[in-house]
Amino acid sequence: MTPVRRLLTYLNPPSRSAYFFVAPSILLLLAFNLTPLIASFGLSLSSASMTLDRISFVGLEQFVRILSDARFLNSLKVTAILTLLEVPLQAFGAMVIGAMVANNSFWNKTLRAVYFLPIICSATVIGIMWRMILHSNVGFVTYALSLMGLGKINFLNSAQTTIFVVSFLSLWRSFGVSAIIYVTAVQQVNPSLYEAAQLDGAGRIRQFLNVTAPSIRPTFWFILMTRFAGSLQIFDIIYVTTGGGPNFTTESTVAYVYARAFASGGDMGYASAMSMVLFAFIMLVTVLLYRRMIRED
Amino acid sequence: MILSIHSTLRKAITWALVAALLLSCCGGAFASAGAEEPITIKFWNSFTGADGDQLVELVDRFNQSNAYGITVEMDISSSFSDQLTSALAAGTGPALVLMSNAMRYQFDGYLQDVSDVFAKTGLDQADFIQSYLDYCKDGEAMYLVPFQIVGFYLFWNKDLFTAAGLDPEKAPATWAEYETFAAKLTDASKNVYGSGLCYNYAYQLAHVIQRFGGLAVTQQDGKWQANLAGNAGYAKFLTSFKKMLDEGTNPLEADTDPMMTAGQIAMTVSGPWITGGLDTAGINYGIALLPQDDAGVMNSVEVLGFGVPTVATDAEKQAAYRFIQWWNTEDAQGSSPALEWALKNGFPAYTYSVQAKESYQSSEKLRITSSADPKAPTNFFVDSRFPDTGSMLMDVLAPMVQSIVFDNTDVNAALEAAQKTADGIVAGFNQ
Amino acid sequence: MDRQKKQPLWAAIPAQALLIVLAALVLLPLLWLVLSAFKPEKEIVSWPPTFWFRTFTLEHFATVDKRIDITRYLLNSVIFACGTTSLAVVVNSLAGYAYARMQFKGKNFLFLLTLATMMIPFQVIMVPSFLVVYKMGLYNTYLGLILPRVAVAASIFMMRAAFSGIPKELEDAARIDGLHEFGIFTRIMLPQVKSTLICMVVLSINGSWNDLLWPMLVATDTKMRTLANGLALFVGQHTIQYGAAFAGALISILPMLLLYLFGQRYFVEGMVGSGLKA
Repeated sequence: MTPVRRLLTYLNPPSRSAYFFVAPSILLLLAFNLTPLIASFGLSLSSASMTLDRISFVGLEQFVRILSDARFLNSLKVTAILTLLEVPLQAFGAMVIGAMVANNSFWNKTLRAVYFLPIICSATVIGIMWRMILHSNVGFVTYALSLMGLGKINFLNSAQTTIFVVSFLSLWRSFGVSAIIYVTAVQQVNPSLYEAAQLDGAGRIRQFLNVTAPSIRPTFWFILMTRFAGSLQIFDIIYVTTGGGPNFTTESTVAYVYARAFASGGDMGYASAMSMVLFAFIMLVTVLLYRRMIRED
Repeated sequence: MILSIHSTLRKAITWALVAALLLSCCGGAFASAGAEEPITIKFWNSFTGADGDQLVELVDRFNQSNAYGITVEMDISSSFSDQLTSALAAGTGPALVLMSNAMRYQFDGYLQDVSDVFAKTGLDQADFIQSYLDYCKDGEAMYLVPFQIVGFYLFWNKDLFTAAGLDPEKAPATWAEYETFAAKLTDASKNVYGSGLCYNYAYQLAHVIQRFGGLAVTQQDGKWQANLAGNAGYAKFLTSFKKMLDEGTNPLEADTDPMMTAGQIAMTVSGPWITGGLDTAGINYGIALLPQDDAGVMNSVEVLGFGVPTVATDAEKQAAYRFIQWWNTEDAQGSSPALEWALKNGFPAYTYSVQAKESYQSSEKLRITSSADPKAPTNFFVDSRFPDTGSMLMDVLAPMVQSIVFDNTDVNAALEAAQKTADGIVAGFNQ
Repeated sequence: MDRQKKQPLWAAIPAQALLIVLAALVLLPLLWLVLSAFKPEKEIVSWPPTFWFRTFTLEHFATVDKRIDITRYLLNSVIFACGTTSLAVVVNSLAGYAYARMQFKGKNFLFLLTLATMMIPFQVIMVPSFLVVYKMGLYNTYLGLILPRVAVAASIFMMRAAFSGIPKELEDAARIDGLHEFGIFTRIMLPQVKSTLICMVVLSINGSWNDLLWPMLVATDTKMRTLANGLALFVGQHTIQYGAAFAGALISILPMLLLYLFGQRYFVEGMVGSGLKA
């Protein structure tokens, strides 16, 4: 064996070659994501402007500020509500819908194409479109409701209902993607499992519960965890529709962080500290879910 | 080789690498484009929307006509502020920007003193209206050169006035009258509201509320102080606004512009930009100065100006000055870009010479927007020398109004809470 | 293949009704947007509002064409999207495979590290990220636009989920045949997850296509603007040109729609031709 061959053979077992598989992603993430992440941890312990100058170390002062910041606590509440409204529908609802349209019939393909449509609209477009459609005075939905003899619903200016509208829009945008991802998972389920279930006389619902759902569990975990992380960071749908209003009832944590980081001179230290708190929450949820996932694998 | 890569994938990877290499080369080429010109300066602003079209046209004209070989590379960005922030953090960025004096504090320390613009260009300082220049100053230093004077005006729908039996040519002269008119103009059966004030539009509310209770921040014995708690004028406006919302003469609505355009609002307070939409929609409207109230005569404006960031070299700064000079210089026909801009957009001019032009005088829109008492104070919401107007608007005024509107907070309690926040902001500038 | 028994009518009707309602929720607003792109501005904002246009106009498309260099922006969007995606497919599927099917020291740590990158709001790391790109000399280059967007935790996770579902026997058989690890990955495993791969390609292209903020920061050169950025120009600080914005949206949606419809041909049933003896 030539030395090159010997080296390659030495590197071939999974325990060694695995590092070559993960290296490109780790290097890129290290450069463009983890470095900034560490930087923002550093910033959370300091006071800094938005252009990251005038940096001075202040220890845990920013975190102490958080404790008495009612607007931050409110933003956590808003974020929690939005997450609880959205994640179950994304993780379970999209699974059911995905399974329903998984077969490659023409009708199902059409439905899938339709469900996929919202994700190809940019946030800017979604914002102006829905603000106009749901406008409580000149919007089309308002007009349609009035034609049906129903009263006005102030979709975007109500301290009670606007948060549900935001949640709906967030779902509207990404529900289809979750469903499509489930479709691909369902299509990769071994067909012999269905044949076996059919021989046992299982109906569609039984097949879904006994075959589909268990087989696509990795995808379920993927959707659950990414949607959790995504929902807890909900921002641009809010930014383009309500801007966090009315009266902060839809101001998520990231929306508040953005306002603090860039409004009037910027308070990057404080914004970073709030992000670290949010990060800790998300990380906690993720690690708990991850451990369950590993146990199930 | 033992690792015989699957050929398709190998091809894919090769292509990807080739593509990446090529792209990085292209990128380099684009970055250095225009090097053969004597000087190219970057000009960033946020004039998205229709007025951006005209700005593009004017900048093109400058690039073609200037004798210095200057190329102004303009980038209109919907994320102007984020873009500028990150560029400045890296020590790079444009040589020329447009920003509001209300935003200036955000980029504190990143703008060069431009007070020598008059000496360097021959522009006549005496031609510039002093109160607007004052906005751009911090002590002796000047950070912006006026570009656009943004005032808010009263716009009313004449047809709706006629329908309600009011004189279509007569705008309300006082806020008391405004309230009475609003009640008369409201017609719930037609989904028409008399008044169109937005509960979350801090800029709009600020222009109105200061007519009632004066400035939110003033200077006393060299110290800044906030004037919210116990401000009877503010309390009066807030009470009246809440009443209009409760009575349904003003909609509970964050987005009133489309309603004005659709003819569902009879009176609103806005800037000249609204006229574009109103003209397109064929609305028959009038413009008037804002009614005054207890705080006395005032002509509140925000000044948008040219700024030169600290990253600009002396040569770039000089080129930026040339552009500013060109903007304010008349051609053979007696027209200047500044004049064209005013005529097109309806913003009052900041120089006496432009205001004196015949075409300016004969514009109905400009005649009204420039008709304010020239001696009236032009401060917008706070003393114009106070650096952080933005925080006072977004963190003090907007939350205060919304807590009254949505939580039914008592007006005086809301003012006291706002005072506390404002004290915190003001204290930062008293050290 | 037919994997289902005929469904009883009582179950099929409500199920299909649900699917149709969902489709309507998606389609109606978009249809309104498409139709509005052909209405005069005055009609888009009017009371009572219209659904079908009363007056048909193409003026907004002319406005868009006059205001932005569509071909140039389109080209930039394509370069950005394709550059990112071609690299992303390689990088993310490699990593996803390793996390799904290989045992190595530090696996859990590295995977959690990867996941951690999707838990910090972009708005906070925006300025530091920009500084990294700038210091690497990638400011105003396509590479600066692309590289930071290649490795995506969610994509790695998605590939991991897809690879986890493949039966162990396949891999073992290949190993017995003497294939090395990379060969197992490219020849045996990748074809198994074709659907997910296509799905990732579509999502990655789409993500770059609609990305607004990052291209704005990194490519401030107007010649490098993408289509999504161009369209944001019609939404002013105070005024929105509804018609132009909708016309622009329509223009930017079309390529994505075609891509999806084209890509869907490849959303084939998974196990076909896998060589697995069931």
